[in-house]
Amino acid sequence: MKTGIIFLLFISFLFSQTWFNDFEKATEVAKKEKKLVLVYIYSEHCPYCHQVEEFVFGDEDVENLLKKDFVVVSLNISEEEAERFDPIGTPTFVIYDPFKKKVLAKFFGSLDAETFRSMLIRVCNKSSLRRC
Amino acid sequence: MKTRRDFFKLAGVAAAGIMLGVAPVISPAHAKISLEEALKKHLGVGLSAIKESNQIKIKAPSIAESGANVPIQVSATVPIEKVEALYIFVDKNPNPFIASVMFSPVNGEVFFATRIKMGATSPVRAILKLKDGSYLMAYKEVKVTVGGCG
Repeated sequence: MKTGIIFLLFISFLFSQTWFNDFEKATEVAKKEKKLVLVYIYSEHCPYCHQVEEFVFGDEDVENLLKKDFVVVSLNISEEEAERFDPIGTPTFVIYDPFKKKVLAKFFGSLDAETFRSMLIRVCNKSSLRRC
Repeated sequence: MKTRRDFFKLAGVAAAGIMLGVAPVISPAHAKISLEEALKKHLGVGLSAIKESNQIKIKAPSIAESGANVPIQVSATVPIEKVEALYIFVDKNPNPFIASVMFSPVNGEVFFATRIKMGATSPVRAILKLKDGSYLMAYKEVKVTVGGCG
Protein backbone atom coordinates (compact mmCIF):
# COMPACT_ATOMS: atom_id res chain seq x y z
CA MET A 1 0.00 0.00 0.00
CA LYS A 2 2.72 2.43 1.15
CA THR A 3 4.92 1.50 -1.81
CA GLY A 4 1.95 2.06 -4.13
CA ILE A 5 1.38 5.57 -2.82
CA ILE A 6 5.06 6.48 -3.13
CA PHE A 7 5.05 5.06 -6.65
CA LEU A 8 1.96 7.09 -7.61
CA LEU A 9 3.56 10.26 -6.22
CA PHE A 10 6.65 9.51 -8.31
CA ILE A 11 4.52 9.03 -11.46
CA SER A 12 2.52 12.22 -10.87
CA PHE A 13 5.80 14.11 -10.28
CA LEU A 14 7.15 12.91 -13.62
CA PHE A 15 4.10 14.01 -15.56
CA SER A 16 3.21 17.21 -13.77
CA GLN A 17 4.17 20.72 -14.79
CA THR A 18 5.72 22.60 -11.91
CA TRP A 19 4.45 26.12 -11.42
CA PHE A 20 6.30 28.48 -9.15
CA ASN A 21 5.17 31.42 -7.10
CA ASP A 22 8.68 32.72 -6.53
CA PHE A 23 10.21 34.53 -9.51
CA GLU A 24 13.85 34.12 -8.41
CA LYS A 25 13.46 30.40 -7.88
CA ALA A 26 11.71 30.04 -11.24
CA THR A 27 14.57 31.93 -12.93
CA GLU A 28 17.16 29.61 -11.39
CA VAL A 29 15.27 26.55 -12.59
CA ALA A 30 14.77 28.06 -16.06
CA LYS A 31 18.52 28.71 -16.39
CA LYS A 32 19.32 25.19 -15.31
CA GLU A 33 16.79 23.68 -17.73
CA LYS A 34 17.57 26.19 -20.54
CA LYS A 35 14.00 27.49 -20.65
CA LEU A 36 12.27 30.86 -20.67
CA VAL A 37 10.20 32.15 -17.76
CA LEU A 38 6.52 32.87 -18.27
CA VAL A 39 5.13 35.09 -15.54
CA TYR A 40 1.34 34.92 -15.20
CA ILE A 41 -0.10 37.77 -13.14
CA TYR A 42 -3.65 37.11 -12.00
CA SER A 43 -6.27 38.26 -9.54
CA GLU A 44 -8.68 35.95 -7.76
CA HIS A 45 -11.88 37.70 -8.76
CA CYS A 46 -11.12 38.41 -12.41
CA PRO A 47 -13.35 36.29 -14.69
CA TYR A 48 -10.88 36.69 -17.58
CA CYS A 49 -8.20 34.97 -15.45
CA HIS A 50 -10.59 32.09 -14.78
CA GLN A 51 -11.23 31.81 -18.51
CA VAL A 52 -7.49 31.74 -19.24
CA GLU A 53 -6.80 29.18 -16.51
CA GLU A 54 -9.49 26.85 -17.80
CA PHE A 55 -9.27 27.19 -21.57
CA VAL A 56 -5.74 28.43 -22.26
CA PHE A 57 -3.55 26.80 -19.60
CA GLY A 58 -5.88 23.78 -19.80
CA ASP A 59 -5.30 23.39 -23.53
CA GLU A 60 -3.28 20.32 -24.44
CA ASP A 61 -1.04 22.09 -27.01
CA VAL A 62 -0.37 25.06 -24.73
CA GLU A 63 0.43 22.72 -21.85
CA ASN A 64 2.89 20.74 -23.97
CA LEU A 65 4.64 23.91 -25.16
CA LEU A 66 4.89 25.23 -21.60
CA LYS A 67 6.31 21.93 -20.36
CA LYS A 68 8.90 21.88 -23.13
CA ASP A 69 10.17 25.45 -23.21
CA PHE A 70 8.94 27.45 -20.21
CA VAL A 71 9.05 27.63 -16.46
CA VAL A 72 5.82 29.22 -15.31
CA VAL A 73 5.54 31.49 -12.31
CA SER A 74 2.13 32.72 -11.19
CA LEU A 75 1.91 35.89 -9.13
CA ASN A 76 -1.12 37.48 -7.55
CA ILE A 77 -1.31 41.13 -8.63
CA SER A 78 -1.51 42.14 -4.97
CA GLU A 79 1.91 40.58 -4.28
CA GLU A 80 4.93 42.86 -4.11
CA GLU A 81 6.81 40.61 -6.52
CA ALA A 82 4.24 41.28 -9.26
CA GLU A 83 4.87 45.05 -9.09
CA ARG A 84 8.32 44.73 -10.67
CA PHE A 85 6.56 43.89 -13.97
CA ASP A 86 4.30 46.95 -13.74
CA PRO A 87 1.07 45.12 -14.74
CA ILE A 88 -1.78 47.17 -16.20
CA GLY A 89 -4.29 44.67 -14.86
CA THR A 90 -5.03 40.97 -15.00
CA PRO A 91 -4.36 38.64 -16.66
CA THR A 92 -0.89 39.92 -17.61
CA PHE A 93 1.71 37.64 -19.17
CA VAL A 94 5.43 38.41 -19.12
CA ILE A 95 8.03 36.40 -21.00
CA TYR A 96 11.44 36.74 -19.40
CA ASP A 97 14.77 35.55 -20.76
CA PRO A 98 16.82 34.37 -17.74
CA PHE A 99 20.08 34.33 -19.77
CA LYS A 100 19.86 37.89 -21.09
CA LYS A 101 18.07 38.93 -17.90
CA LYS A 102 15.46 40.93 -19.76
CA VAL A 103 11.72 41.00 -20.44
CA LEU A 104 11.11 39.85 -24.01
CA ALA A 105 7.39 40.53 -24.14
CA LYS A 106 4.50 41.60 -21.98
CA PHE A 107 0.85 41.30 -22.91
CA PHE A 108 -2.36 42.02 -21.11
CA GLY A 109 -5.82 40.45 -21.37
CA SER A 110 -7.46 37.13 -22.06
CA LEU A 111 -7.04 35.43 -25.41
CA ASP A 112 -7.81 32.09 -26.94
CA ALA A 113 -5.47 29.10 -26.66
CA GLU A 114 -4.27 29.15 -30.28
CA THR A 115 -3.40 32.87 -30.24
CA PHE A 116 -1.64 32.48 -26.89
CA ARG A 117 0.39 29.54 -28.17
CA SER A 118 1.47 31.35 -31.36
CA MET A 119 2.49 34.40 -29.32
CA LEU A 120 4.63 32.23 -27.04
CA ILE A 121 6.28 30.56 -30.05
CA ARG A 122 6.92 33.90 -31.78
CA VAL A 123 8.57 35.41 -28.69
CA CYS A 124 10.45 32.19 -27.91
CA ASN A 125 11.94 32.08 -31.41
CA LYS A 126 13.34 35.58 -30.93
CA SER A 127 14.92 34.63 -27.60
CA SER A 128 18.34 33.20 -26.86
CA LEU A 129 16.77 29.72 -26.96
CA ARG A 130 15.44 29.88 -30.56
CA ARG A 131 14.05 26.38 -30.47
CA CYS A 132 10.32 26.64 -29.86
CA MET B 1 -15.56 -0.14 -13.97
CA LYS B 2 -11.92 0.63 -13.28
CA THR B 3 -10.63 -0.90 -10.07
CA ARG B 4 -7.66 0.00 -7.94
CA ARG B 5 -6.00 -3.11 -9.34
CA ASP B 6 -6.47 -1.81 -12.93
CA PHE B 7 -4.99 1.52 -11.94
CA PHE B 8 -1.90 -0.10 -10.43
CA LYS B 9 -1.53 -2.22 -13.55
CA LEU B 10 -1.52 0.97 -15.68
CA ALA B 11 1.00 2.56 -13.32
CA GLY B 12 3.15 -0.57 -13.65
CA VAL B 13 3.10 -0.30 -17.45
CA ALA B 14 4.07 3.36 -17.19
CA ALA B 15 6.97 2.51 -14.86
CA ALA B 16 8.16 -0.24 -17.20
CA GLY B 17 8.10 2.26 -20.07
CA ILE B 18 10.18 4.75 -18.10
CA MET B 19 12.75 2.11 -17.14
CA LEU B 20 13.07 1.07 -20.78
CA GLY B 21 13.52 4.69 -21.76
CA VAL B 22 10.20 4.77 -23.61
CA ALA B 23 7.88 7.63 -22.75
CA PRO B 24 4.49 6.12 -21.90
CA VAL B 25 1.47 7.56 -23.61
CA ILE B 26 -0.94 8.79 -20.97
CA SER B 27 -3.99 10.68 -22.24
CA PRO B 28 -4.39 14.00 -20.45
CA ALA B 29 -7.70 14.56 -18.68
CA HIS B 30 -8.47 17.54 -20.89
CA ALA B 31 -7.86 15.88 -24.27
CA LYS B 32 -9.75 17.80 -26.96
CA ILE B 33 -12.66 16.18 -28.74
CA SER B 34 -14.64 17.47 -31.69
CA LEU B 35 -18.36 18.29 -31.68
CA GLU B 36 -19.06 15.28 -33.87
CA GLU B 37 -17.23 12.97 -31.44
CA ALA B 38 -19.04 14.48 -28.46
CA LEU B 39 -22.44 14.06 -30.16
CA LYS B 40 -21.71 10.44 -30.97
CA LYS B 41 -20.51 9.79 -27.43
CA HIS B 42 -23.51 11.33 -25.68
CA LEU B 43 -26.34 10.95 -28.21
CA GLY B 44 -25.14 8.11 -30.38
CA VAL B 45 -25.77 10.13 -33.57
CA GLY B 46 -23.87 12.71 -35.60
CA LEU B 47 -24.87 16.29 -36.43
CA SER B 48 -26.39 15.28 -39.79
CA ALA B 49 -29.00 13.14 -37.98
CA ILE B 50 -30.28 16.08 -35.93
CA LYS B 51 -33.05 18.27 -37.36
CA GLU B 52 -33.08 22.02 -36.77
CA SER B 53 -36.31 23.25 -35.23
CA ASN B 54 -37.83 26.62 -34.41
CA GLN B 55 -39.73 24.97 -31.54
CA ILE B 56 -36.60 25.42 -29.41
CA LYS B 57 -35.48 28.87 -28.26
CA ILE B 58 -32.07 29.73 -26.86
CA LYS B 59 -31.68 32.96 -24.95
CA ALA B 60 -28.00 33.87 -24.65
CA PRO B 61 -25.98 37.05 -25.12
CA SER B 62 -24.74 37.64 -28.69
CA ILE B 63 -21.59 39.07 -27.15
CA ALA B 64 -20.53 37.60 -23.82
CA GLU B 65 -18.48 39.86 -21.60
CA SER B 66 -16.38 36.92 -20.46
CA GLY B 67 -16.36 33.27 -21.45
CA ALA B 68 -15.97 32.32 -17.79
CA ASN B 69 -19.65 32.89 -17.06
CA VAL B 70 -22.17 32.96 -19.92
CA PRO B 71 -25.88 32.89 -18.97
CA ILE B 72 -28.07 30.75 -21.24
CA GLN B 73 -31.74 29.86 -21.15
CA VAL B 74 -33.39 27.11 -23.21
CA SER B 75 -37.13 26.73 -23.67
CA ALA B 76 -39.23 24.72 -26.12
CA THR B 77 -42.83 24.51 -27.23
CA VAL B 78 -42.60 20.76 -27.79
CA PRO B 79 -45.14 19.03 -25.47
CA ILE B 80 -43.30 17.76 -22.39
CA GLU B 81 -44.83 14.27 -22.78
CA LYS B 82 -42.84 13.87 -25.98
CA VAL B 83 -39.51 15.00 -24.53
CA GLU B 84 -36.95 12.72 -22.91
CA ALA B 85 -33.92 14.95 -22.41
CA LEU B 86 -32.16 18.20 -23.26
CA TYR B 87 -28.47 18.31 -24.19
CA ILE B 88 -26.32 21.42 -24.42
CA PHE B 89 -23.11 21.59 -26.46
CA VAL B 90 -20.59 24.34 -27.25
CA ASP B 91 -18.84 23.57 -30.55
CA LYS B 92 -15.44 25.15 -29.83
CA ASN B 93 -14.94 24.08 -26.23
CA PRO B 94 -12.17 21.49 -25.71
CA ASN B 95 -14.97 19.18 -24.62
CA PRO B 96 -18.14 20.43 -26.36
CA PHE B 97 -20.51 18.57 -24.01
CA ILE B 98 -21.90 20.93 -21.38
CA ALA B 99 -24.96 19.36 -19.78
CA SER B 100 -27.78 16.86 -20.08
CA VAL B 101 -31.14 17.39 -18.37
CA MET B 102 -33.77 14.64 -18.13
CA PHE B 103 -37.42 15.70 -18.34
CA SER B 104 -40.64 14.05 -17.19
CA PRO B 105 -44.28 15.23 -17.51
CA VAL B 106 -44.16 16.65 -13.97
CA ASN B 107 -41.76 19.32 -15.24
CA GLY B 108 -44.70 20.88 -17.07
CA GLU B 109 -42.63 22.40 -19.87
CA VAL B 110 -39.14 22.39 -21.34
CA PHE B 111 -37.26 25.14 -19.57
CA PHE B 112 -33.68 25.18 -18.36
CA ALA B 113 -31.40 28.09 -17.43
CA THR B 114 -27.78 27.95 -16.34
CA ARG B 115 -24.39 29.59 -16.73
CA ILE B 116 -21.75 27.97 -18.86
CA LYS B 117 -18.04 28.38 -19.62
CA MET B 118 -16.90 29.10 -23.16
CA GLY B 119 -13.30 29.04 -24.35
CA ALA B 120 -13.88 30.98 -27.58
CA THR B 121 -16.57 32.41 -29.86
CA SER B 122 -18.78 29.48 -30.82
CA PRO B 123 -22.29 28.27 -31.51
CA VAL B 124 -24.17 27.09 -28.41
CA ARG B 125 -26.45 24.15 -29.28
CA ALA B 126 -29.56 22.94 -27.46
CA ILE B 127 -30.64 19.47 -28.56
CA LEU B 128 -33.87 17.80 -27.48
CA LYS B 129 -34.08 14.04 -27.47
CA LEU B 130 -37.69 13.02 -28.06
CA LYS B 131 -39.27 9.82 -26.78
CA ASP B 132 -39.63 8.50 -30.34
CA GLY B 133 -35.82 8.52 -30.60
CA SER B 134 -35.53 11.58 -32.86
CA TYR B 135 -33.61 14.76 -32.13
CA LEU B 136 -34.43 18.47 -32.55
CA MET B 137 -31.87 21.25 -32.34
CA ALA B 138 -31.47 25.01 -32.17
CA TYR B 139 -28.26 26.98 -31.92
CA LYS B 140 -27.07 30.50 -31.26
CA GLU B 141 -23.66 32.02 -31.98
CA VAL B 142 -22.15 33.60 -28.86
CA LYS B 143 -19.11 35.84 -29.28
CA VAL B 144 -16.61 35.66 -26.45
CA THR B 145 -14.72 38.91 -26.11
CA VAL B 146 -11.14 39.25 -25.00
CA GLY B 147 -10.52 41.49 -22.04
CA GLY B 148 -9.02 41.93 -18.66
CA CYS B 149 -9.57 43.44 -15.25
CA GLY B 150 -8.02 46.81 -14.50
